[in-house]
Amino acid sequence: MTKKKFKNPPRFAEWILSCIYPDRGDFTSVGDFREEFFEVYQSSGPFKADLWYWMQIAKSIPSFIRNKGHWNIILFYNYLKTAFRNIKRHKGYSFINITGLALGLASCFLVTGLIIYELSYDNFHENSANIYRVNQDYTRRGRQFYESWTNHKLMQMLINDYPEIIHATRINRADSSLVSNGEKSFYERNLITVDNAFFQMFTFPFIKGDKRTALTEPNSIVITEEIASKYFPDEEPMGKLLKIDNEYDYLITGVVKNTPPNSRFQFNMAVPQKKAMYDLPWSAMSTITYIQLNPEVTADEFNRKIGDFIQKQIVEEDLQIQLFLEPLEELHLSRYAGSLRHTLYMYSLCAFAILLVACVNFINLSTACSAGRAKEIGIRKVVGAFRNNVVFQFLGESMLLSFISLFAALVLAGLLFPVFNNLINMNAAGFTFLSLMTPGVVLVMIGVAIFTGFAAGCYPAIVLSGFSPVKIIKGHLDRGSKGFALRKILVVVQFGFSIFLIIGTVVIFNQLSFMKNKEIGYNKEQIVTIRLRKGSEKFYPRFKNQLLMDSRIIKVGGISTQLPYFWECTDNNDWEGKDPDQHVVVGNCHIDYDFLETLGIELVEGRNFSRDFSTDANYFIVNETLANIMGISSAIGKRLTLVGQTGNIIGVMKDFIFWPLDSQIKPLAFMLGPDKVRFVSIRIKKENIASTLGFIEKTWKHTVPMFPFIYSFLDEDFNESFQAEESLGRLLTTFAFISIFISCLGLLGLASYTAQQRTKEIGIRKVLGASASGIIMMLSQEFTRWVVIANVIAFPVAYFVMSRWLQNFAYRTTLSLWVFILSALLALVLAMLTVSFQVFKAATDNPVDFLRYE
Amino acid sequence: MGKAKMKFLSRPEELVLLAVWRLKENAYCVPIKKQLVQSTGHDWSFGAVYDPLDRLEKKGLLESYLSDPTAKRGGKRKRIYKLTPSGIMALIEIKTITDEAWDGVPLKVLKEEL
Repeated sequence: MTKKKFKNPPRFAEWILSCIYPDRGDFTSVGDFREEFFEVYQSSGPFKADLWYWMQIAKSIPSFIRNKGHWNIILFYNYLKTAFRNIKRHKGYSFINITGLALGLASCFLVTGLIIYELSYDNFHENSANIYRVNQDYTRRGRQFYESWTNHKLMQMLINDYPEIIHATRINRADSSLVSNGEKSFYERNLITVDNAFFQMFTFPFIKGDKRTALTEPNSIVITEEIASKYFPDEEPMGKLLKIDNEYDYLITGVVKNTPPNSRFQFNMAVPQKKAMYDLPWSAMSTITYIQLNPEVTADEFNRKIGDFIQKQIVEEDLQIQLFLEPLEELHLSRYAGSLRHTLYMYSLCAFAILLVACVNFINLSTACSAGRAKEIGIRKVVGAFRNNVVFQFLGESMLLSFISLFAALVLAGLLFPVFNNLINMNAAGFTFLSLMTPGVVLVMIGVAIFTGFAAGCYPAIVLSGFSPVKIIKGHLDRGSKGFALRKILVVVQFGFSIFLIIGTVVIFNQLSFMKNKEIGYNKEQIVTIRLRKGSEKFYPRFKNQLLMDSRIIKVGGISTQLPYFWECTDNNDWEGKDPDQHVVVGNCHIDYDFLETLGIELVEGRNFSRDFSTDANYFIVNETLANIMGISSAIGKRLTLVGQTGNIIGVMKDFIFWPLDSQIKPLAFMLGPDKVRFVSIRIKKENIASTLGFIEKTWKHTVPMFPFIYSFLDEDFNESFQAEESLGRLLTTFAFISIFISCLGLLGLASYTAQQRTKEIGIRKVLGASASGIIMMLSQEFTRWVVIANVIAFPVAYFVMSRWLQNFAYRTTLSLWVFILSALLALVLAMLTVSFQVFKAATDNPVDFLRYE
Repeated sequence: MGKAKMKFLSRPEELVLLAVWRLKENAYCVPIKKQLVQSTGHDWSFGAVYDPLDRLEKKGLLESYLSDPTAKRGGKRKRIYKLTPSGIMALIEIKTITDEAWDGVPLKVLKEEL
């Protein structure tokens, strides 16, 4: 036999082998394989030898899996048994852990469900990936706006110039229309006007009719099932007529399924756009334009082409419009105009923080209890467990707990769902608990549970597995002191977060009540508002006269816009001595003679509109802000030109708030126009409001036939504008409550643990003469210190964040010291109450019980 | 008596036990494997040898110790197996049972029946 040079087997293969047989004392198997490998090498050459080696390993694997798996199952069973025993033995701690984690996971679950629901908006359309809204970057007089509205003529021009556009449609929403089929007539709020391509672009399945031709005729209408069964309960709706606003007849050419709740296109009737609205100047933005692009064209490419499309045709000076596309699927959470996006960020941040607070409990309690398990770990190590095994065991235990919590969280989330839905103020029809249980949400939650188990179990696992078995068994372990500093820090962080939330909540509610009760410049109590719908405005004078005949009605006034918001404003204005470069946006609307008196708006100068002066029709009443901007000592008698009307100013009103959330009062001018009144304000007496309302309704039915009676109270409308702030406040309250609850649970666990650890010490102290109150002081001191430190950390953060938030409001409360003191006291009292029982018990127990030798 | 109490060994276990006895001082995995290949004509994988070795050791029929490391094996030791007294007893029993069972069955007659 020729002696060939020595050769080693493939390294990687050898490594696998050593993994497969790590326990065959000192790798004899690797040696065995080498020996035979070398023989094969000598007889058949290197290639065959390598091949042989690999084959051998492949052959060994099945039996390896069989053996290993068997032992792992036994070991796993043992771990499981230990874990369950441990949960049972420490019922209190386990309860704290599971409750905390379940609360955190339930918050996460609900918030994830909400986010996934919001993300699902409008991605059910077959073409949703290729549909875009055409937006405008709109610059005028040096100011830039993001604008989702476009000009009516834009769509046709784009279609003419760009073959990439497959379909395009404009969408307008009619305010609210009176729809009738003979006797049946109702107000319908969801009438949209679109182009014929609408139903080819968006997927709203047709039950009857053809989606390609349904809206080609100008008087055709497509209705939903809901409308079909409402107006034609037992008839075939196709080909029937519907009358809209008592004026136009529409022929039903299609019936579609009801719109799903997660679509931004909520409609129950669709009619074609009117051609008449075509030619308006480019500064007029009157519709929303959607286009569907050829799938091969990307939005970026197309954006480059159409960017200055309008700019080339603009004749108006000082107006720049850049077009850009925004994908349909992103519109619901638009990055340009999205308060929803921020709200969702807030929600997820809070949910995540609560989960962290719960994890902190877990870490604290398991490291604190580690001493109790030191012996177990010691024995495991002595009988051959590697550090990995111990790490695996403890990680597994925390995973087990986190999955138990996940299960509890699902139940909890189901129970809390109605509360949550109420809290976020989203009573959308399709948003139910079952709709939350999509595979996506479930997957995310399992992921979160694994992450939680890992995050919470990581630290204890590493600390516990690091114990030296010799020390443990000899009893040298400094019991439970490991990670003590970390525990302190974590408790401080927990409480800091809770205190921050409490301060935030208090400040928000403070600000809300401040805004609601602030002098707004007019009396908003006992004002009933009724809207004059299209066609009913001509009945206003009769209605008003009939009302005034009753003594319960104090005053009736009318205005052309909705209170408490004044929507209309214009920068088309001029006055004597105005600096031509000055840019002022002036709110403007029409009122009748009695409006100012009805609302109780005071005049500081001049007089109200009066029936005695026929020229008042051209005159103005302005607010103090506008008078100040005009910069003249007295505005009375000055000429003002506003939206084409020129006349003198006859009165100056005291400033009042006409945009409840605005950062400052804007200039405003009133013109006289009793015939332009669209909203009636009725001041009624404080007494017997119900009977007064009954009277108003009777009068309305009597004088304004055919129109339903719909009213609201001005102060309620006013308060409704704080909805976003209120829901933020409610949300923070809930999260603050959950967070402080979990923190207190954790503190309870730590307190009972500390008391238990220090029983001997306390016993000795008492024997040597310490009083119960002294012991209580001593034990409480420690917890108090943590909470105080938490306060010190939370204060500046809360101050910074909340004063930033308050900047959003023109009228804001001050961040007074008492808010902070109150929050600090609240946290402190809660913490003290939590630990008091344990502390009290430790201080009053008979020392003999602890000091006796076992 | 003793016969009735004997646990049956599987065929590979029996062969491995026999191989260990034959090889004496040199009874570690590689030669055992060679022996088995030789006597059965089948190709035996290492796993197929380790497995009965482990089982026999657990049953107390074999015991093992580690030799000194050699360079040829990449510095790894050999695990050398040795029969325990009950291992030898087992061999004796197998031999006796087999011989008794086959008594009076001549190979020639069997082959003729084919």
